[in-house]
Formats: sequence, structure tokens, C-alpha cells
Amino acid sequence: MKKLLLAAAMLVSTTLTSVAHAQETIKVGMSGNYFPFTFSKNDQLQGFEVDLWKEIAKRNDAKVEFITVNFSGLFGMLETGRIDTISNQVTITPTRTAKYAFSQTYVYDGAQVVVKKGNTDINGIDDLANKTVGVNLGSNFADLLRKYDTNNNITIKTYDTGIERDVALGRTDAFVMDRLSSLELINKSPLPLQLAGPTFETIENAMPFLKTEKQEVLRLKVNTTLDSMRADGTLAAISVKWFSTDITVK
Amino acid sequence: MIKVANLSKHFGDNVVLRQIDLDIKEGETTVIIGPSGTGKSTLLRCLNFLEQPTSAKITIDDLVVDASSATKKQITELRKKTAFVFQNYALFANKTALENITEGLVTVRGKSAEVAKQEALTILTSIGLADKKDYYPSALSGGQQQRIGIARAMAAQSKVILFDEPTSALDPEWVGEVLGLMRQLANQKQTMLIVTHEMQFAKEIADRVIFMDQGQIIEQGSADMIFNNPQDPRTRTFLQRVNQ
Amino acid sequence: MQFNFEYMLNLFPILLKYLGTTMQMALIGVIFALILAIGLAVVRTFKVPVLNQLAMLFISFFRGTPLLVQLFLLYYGLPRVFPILINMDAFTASVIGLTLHFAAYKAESIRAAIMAVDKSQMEASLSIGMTTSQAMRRIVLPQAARIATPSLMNYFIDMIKSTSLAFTLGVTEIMAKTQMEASSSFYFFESYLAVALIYWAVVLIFTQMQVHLERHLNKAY
Repeated sequence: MKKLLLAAAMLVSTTLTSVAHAQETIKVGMSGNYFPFTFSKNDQLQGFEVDLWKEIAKRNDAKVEFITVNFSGLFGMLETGRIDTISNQVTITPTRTAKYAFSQTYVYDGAQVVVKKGNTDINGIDDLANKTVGVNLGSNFADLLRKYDTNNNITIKTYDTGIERDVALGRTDAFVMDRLSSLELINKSPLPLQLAGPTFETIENAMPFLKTEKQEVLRLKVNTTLDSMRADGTLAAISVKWFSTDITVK
Repeated sequence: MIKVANLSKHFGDNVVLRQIDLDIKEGETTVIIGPSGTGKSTLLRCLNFLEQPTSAKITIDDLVVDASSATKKQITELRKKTAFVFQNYALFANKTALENITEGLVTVRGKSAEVAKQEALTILTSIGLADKKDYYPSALSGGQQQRIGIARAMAAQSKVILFDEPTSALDPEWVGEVLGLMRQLANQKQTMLIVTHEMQFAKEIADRVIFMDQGQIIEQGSADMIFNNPQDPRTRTFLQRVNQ
Repeated sequence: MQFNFEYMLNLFPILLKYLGTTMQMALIGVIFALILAIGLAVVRTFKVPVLNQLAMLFISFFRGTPLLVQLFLLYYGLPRVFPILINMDAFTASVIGLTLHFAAYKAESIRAAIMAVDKSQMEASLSIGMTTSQAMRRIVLPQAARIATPSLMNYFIDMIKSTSLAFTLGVTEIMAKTQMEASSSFYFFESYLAVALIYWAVVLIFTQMQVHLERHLNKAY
């Protein structure tokens, strides 16, 4: 009889616990057009960020909802609380740190100059005097360039999309993007492009959260999960899948 | 039965009509003549408030409308008691000949579509245009359009039909058929107030002729009196000019 | 560089899946925009006190600022001031933005068309005892519709293509999908050509409908 009562009690408490523990949904915003971090192939949203978050969600017994938004709209979504965070290689900058609370760095990258194949004039960040350089809208590469533009003679062109096409077509002399995406672009796309010099600034990317109590709880949870993913090699594995190298460490 | 008292119309400083007093007897055909630009059309358009008179007291049977205090309802009532025939016919371009006549009957006088259609057909037949009932104005000659314009006015069964130079925009070949219809109406004792330049027609059809100049009535009387024995020198000058 | 025809063909079914979102936004938007535009045009034509000034302000703002800015204000800006608006979803916000923006333009087209209808049409209507409202509904607006149709169709076509801005609010429509797929395949020419053909086909269909509509409207002329 005692065993029966114990079993019944356990059954009830387990049921109650699982009913009380409703699965939370984490809304993650991304652009869907930043290969290989977030992109669509055969109508399937995928990429490094997608794999990362599916794992984070699994480890927290939560559901993840991916919301694709044009990059220029991502921060608006975050501000209005429509997404919990942005997972789109958002670089940690002082301006952003003032407004948002970042997770720990999950990708180490660098700013990279890319030019048309065969270009021997530009071999790095120092050769951009009097050149036209493209950057992506909303990225911080424009600010980065200006930092290096001491003589104020670099023309910066901002793009929504097509940054690499104009260099391939010869309309602009170079573009600046993160090294990882640049590598992938050069490898996968038929466009005639090449790297120009080494990375000229280290970039640390992380996920921004609103500075509220509720979001702080989520941010800490994410950090803990990232720690555990590092510890058991899952994070590195996801990286290798997409980049053939571990981009999650310095 | 139609009494117009103290009708005046100013456009800013420009005085177009000054203190017009007018009485129209039932069944009478009154014709207004006078030089161009003298306010004849404006007078007509003030009577049904297509122009807002600066001052006027208009009485039709038991409806009294004072221009200074006229309400929308009163103006609509006034318009229901009058009918207007325009110089450029002003038929509803998006309606057939038949619909031009039924439109007012259904929308304004609340008749059923069936009754309206019957009445309209009767009128069209009486003016010999029944075969054009489904034609749009763009497919009709000027004379046909104007006769349908008059038919639209007839359908309203109003107290008076106001004609604003009904033949002035017509090719000469169509003037006759329109005047013919107006003659028909006069014979049926329809009260009419006509502004026209057709002097022969005026002489023939008018019970009374009013001569206007510079926004005022100069003289009025029977057709015989005005055309054959005008009293005022201005009347004489005008009639000489139009060679009557 | 070879043109990857196979890639383009395979992309069509994927893109067509999202055409529904694009067209829903455009169709719902155009219906509400037309209704609002007629109201604005009538208010402006008759210079209804107070409403006329409001209409002019509305038209000035929504024609004078870019649609993208309006969408931003509607979806990201206003909820900061009116927290209740947070519940408005991206699709609704996009439709509202499109409606307000294009109603401003359409109102002026319709107002011009009303002005183009001969004054005597209104006078004849009034002279038989119609109210202004009856005259507008039965005689003037039907004639204005015929005059306004080509211009209004222009704006509708513009609306269909402007739906692509909704991606900034997170609505995945046909243009967004094109960009997302192209970003991974790098077949940009093929991808954009595919979506261009789809847009063109849609516009062709509506242009044909316009031909029929105009034929009907021109019956009397």
C-alpha cells in the first residue's frame, strides 16, 4: 500500500511539474541573407546562427522562433521587445554596449578588405587612400573605416545588398566585411574576388539583449549554455561544420 | 404663382443683377431678351440657386425661400418645383437617354424603377425619340440631346421650366426641332421662363417679353408691345441691333 | 559566367509560395486605400471645414515622407509612445502603412478626376433636386472613376512592388525570399531575374483586368 501511494504521489507531482513548466519560446531575430551565418536554401532557413540557437534552445528545454527581418529592422525589433535577441554577427561596440547587454563573445572575427581578383594596388587597409570602399548598411565597418581614414580621403559607400557585386563589376575598389563571410563568399561565389591583406581589427561578435530584468535572466542563461557548449565541444563542432575551423575562440 | 422679389446678385464689387422683381403667371410663357452679358442667365440660375443670390425672396405657390436664410432643405424643395434646361444640354453622360429621365424620378421623387421607366418611355415617345432610349448622349446629335434634356425637365412635372439659351449651342439644323418641342410645351400651357436670342421664336411664342439690360429689367409687356412698340430707347437700340 | 537556368527554374516554386503574402498585402491595402482616398478626395473637393485641413495635412505627410520611414514609425516608433500598439503584428503594420501612403497619392488622382468631370454634370443633378451627395454618388463619381482608372492602376502596381519594404518589419514576402536564397547560392542574376519575371507576370494579369474594366467604363462614351 505504501509503495502504491508513493508511486501515485510521484506520478501526480511529475504531472504537476510538467504542466507548471510550460515551454518558453525564445524569439531570435536574424536577417536570413548573411551567408553562411543565416540564409535560406530551398526555402529552408539555416546557417551557423540557426544551428547555434537550436542547440541553445534544446539545452534549456525551450522553443526557439526565428524571425527574419531585414538587417536595418533588427534593432527596432529588439527595442520594441518583439524579439529577445539578435543572432546575426552583431559586433560589440561601445555605442551598442551603452544601450544593450551582450552575451559572451561567441565568434571572433576580423575586419577584412576584399578586392577584385588581380588587384595589385590594394594590399590592405593602408592602401585605401582615394578609393571607394563599400560597407553593409547598419554594420559598424563604416565607423571602423573612418577610424583608419586619417587623411579623410576614403569614399565610403553603404549598401543594403550587393556590396560584393559592385567590387566584382569594378564600380567600387574594395569592400570591408568580416573575414569569415569574406572567405565563404570567395570560396562559394563565382565572383572574381580576393582578400587584401590580413584582418585589420579584431571583431568580437555577441548577442544583444535589452537591459531589463527579464532579459537579464535570459542573457545569463544563454551565457551558461554557451559555457557548457564550449566545454563539451559542441560549439566548436558547429563552427567547423560551417567554416572548417573554430571561429568561436580567439 | 411664381413671385420673385428684390433679387440681386453681386460678385464681389461687381453688381450683376440689381433689385429684380418678377411675377410669372401659371401657364404663361415668358421670354427674357437683352444684350449679352447682361445677367439674363444669372437671373435664371439664381431662381434655382445654381447661383447663390445676394438677396432675394422667391415664392412658388406656398414655398417661400429667402436667400439670406435659405436652408439646404428649402433649396432642394425649390429645385424640385423648378426644372432647368441648359445651354449645353448637360445630360448625364454616364446614363442612357431613358436613364437620364428616370434618374430624377427614382432618386429624387422616390418612384419605383418600373413606374419611372413607364413615365420616361411615354415622354420619349411623345417627343419622337423612343427609338433612342438606350443610346448614350455621346451617340446623339445636339438636337436630340437637347430634346432629351427638355424631356428630363418635363418628367419632373415642375411648376416652371427654366430655359437658359436652349438653342444657342446648337448647329442651325437642329434648332428647329428643339424650338418645335418648346412650341408643343407652350401649347400645353406649361409655365416657361426662357432666355433666348431667337427673336422670331420669341415673338411667336411669348405671352410676355422682358427686356433686360445691365442687370435690370428695363421694360416688359406683351410680345406685340415690346417688339412693335418698345417704349424705352435702350429697348429700341437693342431691337435695331438684332434687326427686328 | 554561365547562366544557371536550372537554378532559376527550381527557384520559381519556392518564390511562388511567398507570392501570396505579397499579393495579400497589396490587395487588402489597395481596397482600404481606395476607400480612404475617395473620402479624402471628396473632402478636398468640397473643402469641408476642418476635415479639409486635416486631409491636406494627411496628404502632405504621407506623400512627403518615404514609405519605409512611415513603416518604421508605425511599427518601431509608435509602440514606444503607445505601448498598446506592440500587439500589432508586422503584416498588419505593413498593410496599414501601405494603405495610408498610397491613399494620399490616390486621393489627389481622384480629386483631379472629379475636377475633370464637367461642372454642368453637377449642376444638372442639383437642378433636378438631387442632394450633393446623391449627385456625387450617381453622376459625378462614376464619371470620375473612368478618368481616374489609369492613374489608380499605376499606384496599385506601385503598391504591389512596394510590399518588398515589409521585410524591414519582418514580413517574409517574395523579394525577401529572393534575397535570402540568393545570399546562399550566389546566383544573383538568376534569382533576381526569376523574381522580376514573377512581378511582371502579376502586373500583366492586372493590366489585362484594367483593359476589361476600361472597356466597361467607356461603354457610354
